[in-house]
Amino acid sequence: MAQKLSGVEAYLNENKIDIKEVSGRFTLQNLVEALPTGDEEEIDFWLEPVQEDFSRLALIRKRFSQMQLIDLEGQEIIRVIHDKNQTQIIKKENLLNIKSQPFFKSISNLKRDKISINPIMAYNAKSRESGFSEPVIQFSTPLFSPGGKKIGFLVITARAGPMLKTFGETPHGKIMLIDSSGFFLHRSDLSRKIDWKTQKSEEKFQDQYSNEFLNNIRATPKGIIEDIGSEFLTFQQIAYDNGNFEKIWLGIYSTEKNEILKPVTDFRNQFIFIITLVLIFIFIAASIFGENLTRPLLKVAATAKAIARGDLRQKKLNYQSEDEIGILANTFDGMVEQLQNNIHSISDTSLTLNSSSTQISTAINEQSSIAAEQSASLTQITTTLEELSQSSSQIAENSNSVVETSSDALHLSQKGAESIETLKEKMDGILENNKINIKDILNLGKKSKEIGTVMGIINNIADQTKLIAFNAAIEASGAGDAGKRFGVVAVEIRRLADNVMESTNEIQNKIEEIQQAINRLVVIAEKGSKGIEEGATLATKTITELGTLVHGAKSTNDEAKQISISTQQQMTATSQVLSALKEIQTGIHQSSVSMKQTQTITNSLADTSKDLKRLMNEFKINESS
Amino acid sequence: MPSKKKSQEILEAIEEKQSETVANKNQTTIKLVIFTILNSYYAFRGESIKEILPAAKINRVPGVPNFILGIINVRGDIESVININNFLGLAERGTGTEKNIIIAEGEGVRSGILVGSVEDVMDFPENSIQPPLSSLNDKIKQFVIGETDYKEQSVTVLNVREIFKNILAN
Amino acid sequence: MDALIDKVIHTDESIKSGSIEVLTFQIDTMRFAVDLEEIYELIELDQANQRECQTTRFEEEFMFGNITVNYIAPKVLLRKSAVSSGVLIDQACEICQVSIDRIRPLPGLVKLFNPTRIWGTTLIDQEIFFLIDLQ
Repeated sequence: MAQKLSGVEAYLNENKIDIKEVSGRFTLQNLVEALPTGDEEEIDFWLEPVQEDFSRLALIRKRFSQMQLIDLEGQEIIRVIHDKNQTQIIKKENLLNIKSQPFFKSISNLKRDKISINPIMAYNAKSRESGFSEPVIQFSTPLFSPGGKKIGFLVITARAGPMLKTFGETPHGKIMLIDSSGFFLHRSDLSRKIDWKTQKSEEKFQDQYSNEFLNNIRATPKGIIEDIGSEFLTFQQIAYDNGNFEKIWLGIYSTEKNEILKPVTDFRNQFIFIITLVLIFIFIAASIFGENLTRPLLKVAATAKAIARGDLRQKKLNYQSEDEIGILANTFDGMVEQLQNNIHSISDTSLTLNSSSTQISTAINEQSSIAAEQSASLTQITTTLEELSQSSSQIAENSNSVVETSSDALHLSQKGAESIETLKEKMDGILENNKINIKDILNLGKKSKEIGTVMGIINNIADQTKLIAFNAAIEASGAGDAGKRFGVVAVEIRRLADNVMESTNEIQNKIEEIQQAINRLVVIAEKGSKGIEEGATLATKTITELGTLVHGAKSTNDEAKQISISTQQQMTATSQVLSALKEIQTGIHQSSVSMKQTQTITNSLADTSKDLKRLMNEFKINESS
Repeated sequence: MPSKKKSQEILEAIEEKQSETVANKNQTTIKLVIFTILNSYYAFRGESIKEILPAAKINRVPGVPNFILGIINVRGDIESVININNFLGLAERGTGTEKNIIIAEGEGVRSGILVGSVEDVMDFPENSIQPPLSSLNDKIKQFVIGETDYKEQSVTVLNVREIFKNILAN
Repeated sequence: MDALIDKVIHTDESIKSGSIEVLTFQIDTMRFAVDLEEIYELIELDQANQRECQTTRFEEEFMFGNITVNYIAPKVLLRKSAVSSGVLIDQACEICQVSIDRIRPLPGLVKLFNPTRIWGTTLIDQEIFFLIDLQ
């Protein structure tokens, strides 16, 4: 049916092309420009070529029935009618102003190059005598002067008959063409033609098939309906007006389901008829030819009866004689064989059909279940990926915080390194100072030893003084009176010597104390120095270790950044995968839906084949033959 | 009316004391030169002693007995120096830390005696010198006058003349 | 017998003024000096041997006892009194002028035990020298 409908579309398109071409012809434009002037000469001048144009066009395009020119005010200016190789021109005086008509209103706002198509209506040509109206389609387009001014409208009326004829006869079903309201534009099953006179047929599509049904099929561009009673319907939309999908026609092809089986039923009926004839003949023959004939004939009759009942498992009659009965019997045998073969092959076909549809069903089920499994797996994968995505973002978060922490650690350890550097510098300073101090202290120690030398001298003096005192005493004891006086001197000297001894003792003690103090000082200073040296070593070690730490923190930082980048990439990849999976899932779902549709169709196929089988079962046949 | 003026009394007391001092002075005191030899305290009677010198370089004299250590230069004069350790029953060798030489004279002999150190030259009342302990060595006994105390140390008072006598006899 | 205690000669009671010239030398750690007037000649040892001088070791002549002297720079001192006999001396130093004020006799105790021909001592540069009688 698609072919037929494409014929309709092609017809419409051809007309559109033609009208476009005609509207552009300058002869036409000049005529239209001349008409309002009232200049008869001018008008006639242009009218002739336009007339000729149209005649030629009508000859080529047999379907064009009339051409009209209408001015901007709605006044029909000229009408050219072509009918049966005759061209007729009707001038303005005889033409009407159609401004008020809905038709004019529908075309008055047409933009340049736009073509309006009117639905089929009945054309009642005045000249027609048959009283038989035919379906036409009107194509209207605005006319523009070369300067771009709208000057009028061109309306070409084309016969729709040829278009509808393409629908032709259909042996096994009916083709219907309905307009958007549901009126039949064409019905191939009607024995009578549609009365175009009234511009509508008496029936509407909805009368037979319900409004709801019409709306449903109008909603889809094309499709198959098989669940409305005993019919199969296929339909297709035809948009006859440029892109205006509200104005649609519908082509519908309907077949009776029984039609498929009709040949078989017909055959059976035929067969019954034949058998009845045969029975009659046999009865006559038997009664004429008596018993000799009746036996074989009865045999034939019995076989025929059985066959009529549907039991094809009959033995061949194998009648041997050459007479008419033999011929009858042989022919009968042949016929039965033929019948058996036919039924067999039909049965085989129906079995094949059944098994095929079963196979398809099974396959579809498998596919369905596979699809379901796939869907389930995909759901799992999707879930896993979503989890992965989540954990990736977790890792990303964590690594971000690691980056932060390690940055902090890096910062802190750098600060720590700086602090220790400062500390080390200070300690070095202290060490230097300490060395100087120790030097001073050691010098002090040396000086104290020099004091010791002085002390030795003082002690010497003390000893010598002591000896003087002793010698004085000795002298004093020897010399009588003079000695006595000298004795006094000796005592004084002795006293002096004692004082000196005491003083030197004191000085000695003090110096010893000083020396001890200095020694202690030196020891302490050296200890302190050592302590500071150890401290400096420790500081250096700490600096090295901090350096390692800083280095380590840097590495950690870099690595954390790496991790962050990697997880980001991972997340992106994951979401991409997720999108892909979702697409796959959608695809599976869609294929599942398609499979369901196929399943439905297959099911109806299976039903049909079951019907067939049922019918076949009524015929009993030998399995082997 | 006081029998005596206080001042008178005081004066009398002083006079008494002075005569006492003189009397004391007239009491026999012995000047002792106290010295050490090898950490023991000894003493000579002051009358035998001429001078006390710090130890000086002793020039060895060839061909003399061991106890004669040599001669020394004392302000241009030459004195001999001897070691009396033997006479005291002590080890002959010195410590090398001897600090003083005591110039002694007696029995026509004049010589320096090397000692550890001279501690003091003091007057000792004669009765403070005890007779020597009988446990003392006979050998040394002949040289000991007696014993006394100095700074809580026991001091053996020696008779230099006896020592010199002994030397001359040999 | 003369008093063994010789009077200490004070510088302001000098009996004799004047001086002698001496040759100083050293044996071991001891320093000796000989009046030049007693010396005939100072010669080397081999010279003395050549001359076949009668040379006595110092320590033998002056009776040091058991000491054997190691001569470092030996020389032979020939006596004036007997030119062919000499004494072996060591480390001859110099010839000095010694004033008599500075000559002292040996201390009595030393003299007692040392009958050798050391007749006195003198101080040269604060060092004690034994004056010996070469004859």
